[in-house]
Amino acid sequence: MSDELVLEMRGIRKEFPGVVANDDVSIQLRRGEVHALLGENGAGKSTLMNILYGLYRPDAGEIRLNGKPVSFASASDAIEAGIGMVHQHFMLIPVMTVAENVVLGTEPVKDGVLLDEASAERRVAEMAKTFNFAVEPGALVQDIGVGQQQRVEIMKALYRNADILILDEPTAVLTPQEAQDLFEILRTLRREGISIIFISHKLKEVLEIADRITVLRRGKTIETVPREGATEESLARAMVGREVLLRVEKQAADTGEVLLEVEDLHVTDDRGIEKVRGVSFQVRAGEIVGIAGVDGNGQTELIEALTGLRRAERGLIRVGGRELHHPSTREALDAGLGHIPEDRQRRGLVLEFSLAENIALHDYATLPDSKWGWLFPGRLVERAKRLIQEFDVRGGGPFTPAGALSGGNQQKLVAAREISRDPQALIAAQPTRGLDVGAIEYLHRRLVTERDEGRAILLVSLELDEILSLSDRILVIYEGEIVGEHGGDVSEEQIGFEMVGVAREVPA
Amino acid sequence: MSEPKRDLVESPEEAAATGTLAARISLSQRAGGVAVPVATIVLAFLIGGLVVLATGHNPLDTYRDVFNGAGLNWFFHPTTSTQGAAAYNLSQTLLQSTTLILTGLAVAFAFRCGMFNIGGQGQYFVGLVVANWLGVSFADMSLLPHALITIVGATLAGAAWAGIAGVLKATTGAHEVISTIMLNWIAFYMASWLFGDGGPLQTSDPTRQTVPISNDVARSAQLPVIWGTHGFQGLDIGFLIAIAALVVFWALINRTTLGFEVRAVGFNPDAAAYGGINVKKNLIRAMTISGAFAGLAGALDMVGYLYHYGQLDVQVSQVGFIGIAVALLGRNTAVGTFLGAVLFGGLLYGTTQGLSSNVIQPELATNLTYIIQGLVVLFIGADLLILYVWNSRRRLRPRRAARAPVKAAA
Amino acid sequence: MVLFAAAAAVALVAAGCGGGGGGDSTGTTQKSSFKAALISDIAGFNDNGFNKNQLKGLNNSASKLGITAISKVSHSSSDYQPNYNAAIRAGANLVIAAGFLLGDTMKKYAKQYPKVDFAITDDSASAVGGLKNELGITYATQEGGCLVGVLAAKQAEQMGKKIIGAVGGIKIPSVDSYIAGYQYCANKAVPGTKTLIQYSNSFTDEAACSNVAQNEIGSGAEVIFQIAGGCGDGALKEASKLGKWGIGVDADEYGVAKNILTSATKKTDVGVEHAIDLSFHNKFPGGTDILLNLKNDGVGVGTISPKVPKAWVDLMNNYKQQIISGKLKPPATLSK
Repeated sequence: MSDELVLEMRGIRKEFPGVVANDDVSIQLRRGEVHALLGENGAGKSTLMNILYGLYRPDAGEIRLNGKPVSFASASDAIEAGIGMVHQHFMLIPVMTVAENVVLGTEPVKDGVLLDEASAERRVAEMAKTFNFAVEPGALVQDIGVGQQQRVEIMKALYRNADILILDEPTAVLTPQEAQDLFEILRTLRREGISIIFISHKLKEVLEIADRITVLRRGKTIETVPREGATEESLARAMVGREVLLRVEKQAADTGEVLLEVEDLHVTDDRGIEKVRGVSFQVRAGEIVGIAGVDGNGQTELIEALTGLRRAERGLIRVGGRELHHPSTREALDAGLGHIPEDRQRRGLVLEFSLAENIALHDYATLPDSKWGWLFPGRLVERAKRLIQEFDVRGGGPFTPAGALSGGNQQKLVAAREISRDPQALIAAQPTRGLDVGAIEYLHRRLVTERDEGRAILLVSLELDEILSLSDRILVIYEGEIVGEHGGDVSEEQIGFEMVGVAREVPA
Repeated sequence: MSEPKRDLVESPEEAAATGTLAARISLSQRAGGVAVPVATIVLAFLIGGLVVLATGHNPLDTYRDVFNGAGLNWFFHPTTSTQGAAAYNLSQTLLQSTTLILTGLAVAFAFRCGMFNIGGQGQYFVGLVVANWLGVSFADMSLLPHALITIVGATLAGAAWAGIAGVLKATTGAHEVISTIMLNWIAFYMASWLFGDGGPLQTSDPTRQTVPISNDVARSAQLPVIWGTHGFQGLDIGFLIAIAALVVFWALINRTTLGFEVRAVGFNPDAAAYGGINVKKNLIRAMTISGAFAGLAGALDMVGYLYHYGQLDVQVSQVGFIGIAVALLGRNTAVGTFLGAVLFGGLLYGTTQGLSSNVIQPELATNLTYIIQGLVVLFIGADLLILYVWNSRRRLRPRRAARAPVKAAA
Repeated sequence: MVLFAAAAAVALVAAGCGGGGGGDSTGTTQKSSFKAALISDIAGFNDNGFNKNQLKGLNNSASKLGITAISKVSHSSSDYQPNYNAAIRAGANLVIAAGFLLGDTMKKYAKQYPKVDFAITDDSASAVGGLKNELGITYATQEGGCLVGVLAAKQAEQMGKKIIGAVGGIKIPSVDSYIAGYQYCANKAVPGTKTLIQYSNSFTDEAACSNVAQNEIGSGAEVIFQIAGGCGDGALKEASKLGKWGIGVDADEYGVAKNILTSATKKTDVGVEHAIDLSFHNKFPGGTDILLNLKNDGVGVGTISPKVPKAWVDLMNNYKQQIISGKLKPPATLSK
């Protein structure tokens, strides 16, 4: 990294009706640095980058590229100037090969019109080798993994001679391992003199990969700091604007009777492959049991079987001592099971429904919500008002559609509904995925509170940090089996080994 | 102002990234949003006017005559007698609207459950056929029970007919668009045969043995007329029944647990299942209720003013399909469906009655309604298309694929 | 179908037609105020034949007699009554129903408005109540059907198979009368000729008739007679495509496809003009029918292909003379 500035954005302002998305924002990018843009959802990161990429015009401020002021009317101007952007949602054509996708729009041609496929593949292969991409140029995009698709996006930008690369939340779609691979590539690119803007709201990864960090909050630049000396706490404070408790404080568990019990459960997925293979465990009142594991090892099927969304092949489920055989969703709910689903937008909420209707999603058919099939909307609204207050759901009232809320508030809404039903056992699947620091803090505290109220809580998460900081006991799931059981004080390393099927004791 | 007004206002692009913009579009699409339908109508009339202009006539005269032809000028000089042309025309417009309200509701109800019921036409035929059969039989019954049995029987038949598509969707996943189109053809040929020469419902009049038209339903099954003359296509109480059906539709959707389930399934079947709602049951039930509306349309037409039906009528009937435009324009709401039905009822009747060759090319007069109807469906279809593309983008968003772990993740 | 009072009616028609020029002087008082209305059936006036020709007849009369023409198009059967209502409201002295589908409605209005004349194409007055103000305009289409049947049978015989086809739209009397005459005379002209009869169930869908024609040709038919309006043009095109011959209907369809033997014509415009003449001259033969046939040139054949040998045309003309003289009476209905 040199001190040479390749890009400078100064005093950028952008207003949307009713919102100032960017207000006097400035950022400087040096040659060959990874510069993280950190902020909560809605802080203005994407607006700033869309301005840089020519998608929006700023209301005020200037952009200097290599010292010269520039003004982009469209994305193609930005690409021309050497700026590449990798969006969260990939813009690839699944039925075309990697090479074809990379060269699309600037294809090498032979005989005037025909795509010179050989030349395209050769050039893409060269590039893949230079930057260590490990992507097969001839493979169809639909056949390669998400991590590789992301690399194709990066190659697309590089192919157009980008020397500034914008990555918008690149790790959101990646597994931890894929994220590590991505970081390796970013380090290679940095060595080659490419400057990278890395948009994120995850503190850990920012500290891992960034050289410098600019924090945005509510459309304003809060600070730009070098990685050295920055801590998670300091960054979180800058992002949220107050002290944030990153560690969950909790008392030792005071456990009671067994409220959730699973015996020898077997579950197959849609394709008939057995994904849960004889799982047994118990969760007692007053404890949080975490299930750790790499995605795709049967967690989803386990939860779906417990909550009646999927029919188990065999096995026994007991909730509060009551035996459930192949429960329907309704039976599971009636038995006292609460469920914060892993995908709140697809499962947990009807986004078009109002907050009041979403809160009534389980109980609309019983008193006081309805009688003999007749609904009492007033009563729904009353309850919604109460819960919105109690769970601090912001951004709307009982009549607001749930889709208009931010992710954190949507999740609070789901939690409010599930907890207010006073469940004996609560299953929380990925409860903080995609949420910002403030919302994570709230939900973690709430789970601990509910534990202390005497509920049995089953926490399923891909975030090992979350499992470790919340759980009183930890089960590790690998290929549909529980391969390890530990107390809450187990080492991260031990769990990490077991998650990938390496059964070995880590010396204490 | 340097600070955003509220805490959690999202910038538009981030709202879009989380899919809430799509949610908003679909919300206005399905639940509210007056601007789009109004703009659609204005644009459709504008283009229709240009077509009229291109043939060398004045579109304003044309639309004025359609307006008067539909009897809407009655509102400037209201009289109760249908002796006057305006009053008579209005009564006929409302008669046409009666059918369209119900075929519109048949589309709207299924839509609220996330299904596209193209089968209104077939369900309407089934209603007509059964109403004719029941109305011609039991000729010696007294008025109320006979009319009631006829209407209820035909409504249930329409419900059962649509229910087939619902059951197929719930059990085998067969798409309702395909199956309702197929059922339309079956109903079409069945009705053609039943009313045709030698068919079981063909007239029993010995002097008209080869005429492919049914018998009239018995006097005891014919509904009382509220405006106009009985036997001369006066406006019958079927209109009031259709209005009642609108109220029932509204209440079912908005004030019952059934409607809650239907809407939840329509918006998001995954979330509905998670909420404890039986999705398959709701698909079947919503389709059945849809069919009941269309079957009722057929029943009311039969016992309200047609009394008989012919093989050739089967050929030209379009009311089920116009119902699609009515529901789309009405945004699948009760009030919207009513307005859409009156609009299309007025257009259909007004272009037939209002237009003379002085104001419009006679060949065009026949087609102006269909031009406007087509444009409305096209524009609204485009609106749906945008939504569809938007949703596809969301669907195509790469997901974390389940794959075997390779190295330690921690 | 009972065709009574034909002779008397035709005499009147002849008088009406012949007196067209002189009628100007006798009818001066009525001339400006007389209004004649025509109400289409659900095919509308754009059907290139049946309804359209009647509209042509209405307009001819209007310019000839100086009367006011009112035409009302129907898109569905629920348009019939409003159209009658509007015609009468507009002061029509004569309302003509363009087809038998309007019979029920005409019956009601004829009863309600005894001072207005009502006429109906393709149906007899007795079928719509037989009232004093009702007139049937009927066509002996079996006679035209007979003549084209003669040519069809000869053509099929020459081609080798003695099988001919008829593609009907929908099984209604006005379709079947054509077929009845066709079948009867074909078998008479070339004994042993077999007539295949199928219905497409449509008067508009060309593809449907094309399919039916294909079917019949597959079963050996050498000549296809279409009695299905716009739909039937598909049958004619299909026949030419497969190297067979077609016969048109209602209008002269010589130009529709390559191999058109001839057409069985039905001059619905003439019938309408006759009815208007009768009403205009206060000679409306209420309660009876006028019959248009070969004799008064109300039905006939259209252009004959030059490839048809003269001997066949002579044979056909022989049949024509027999029918006109009353020696030959082709049936108007198909035996069941």
